[in-house]
Amino acid sequence: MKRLLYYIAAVGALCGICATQAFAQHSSSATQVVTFSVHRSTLPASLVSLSSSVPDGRRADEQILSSEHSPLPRSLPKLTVTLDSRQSKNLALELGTANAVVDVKNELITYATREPVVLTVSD
Amino acid sequence: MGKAISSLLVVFVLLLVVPLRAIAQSGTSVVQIVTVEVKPITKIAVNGNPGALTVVGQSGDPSASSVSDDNTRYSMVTNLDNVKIVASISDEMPDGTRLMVKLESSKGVSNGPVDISRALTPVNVVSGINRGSDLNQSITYTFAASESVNEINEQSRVITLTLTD
Repeated sequence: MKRLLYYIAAVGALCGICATQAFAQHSSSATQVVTFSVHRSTLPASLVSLSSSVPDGRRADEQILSSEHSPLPRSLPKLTVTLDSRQSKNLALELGTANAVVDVKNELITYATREPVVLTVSD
Repeated sequence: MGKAISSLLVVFVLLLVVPLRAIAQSGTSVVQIVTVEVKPITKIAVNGNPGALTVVGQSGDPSASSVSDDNTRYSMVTNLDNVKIVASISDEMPDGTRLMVKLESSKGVSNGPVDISRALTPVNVVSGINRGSDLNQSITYTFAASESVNEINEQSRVITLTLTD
């Protein structure tokens, strides 16, 4: 009687394992990390945006002088610049030697990535 | 005389038996049972993380509402039929934003850009994949922010892609 119970238990265990195998899901996973942010300026649309339009090797003052001035008083036009840190550094160096510029704000060399920077220039 | 006859008889018997032994096939056999099994295979891998998805621009500008990255790829192999790839996100996206993912597939049917912003439980991105391999298929992430969202500092989410039957 005891042996019969052992047999029944063994058969039951085998059936359980087989059923589990039959219905088991086979899967493999891979993960990725997605990083995101939003930075929207609330500056008036009339301000000129150079964005990242200053290519390497070109004089930044040429870019600025050829850009459209905002309808602010002519004595104090404003430019909005959105640049990455490398471009900001290059632009800061070039603006430092440009005759047209009398004041480059310190924010330009804080290397804030993709942060809008307001420059004050004279014409 | 009797002895000679006996000798002849022995020789005759030997002559008869030896050729029979030579012609007869001899050998023994053993039997082995070889058990083979091919386990179900499902493998998927990616080649890194997408670049930072940053929406920049002026508030109210509808053209600056989304940004995409398609620089990462995945490869998969399976010996099963009708498997699928599902995607899930570790935490929900912030209000006013959406994250979509599109997986290219040559072995199955891509569901196109699938919104996974709230996909805490997996959603299908590719289905009907049959046995074989699919290498270096592109993954495109699109991050979109409504015009009412002006500022969200950098955040991250873990996206899990699962190949499953």
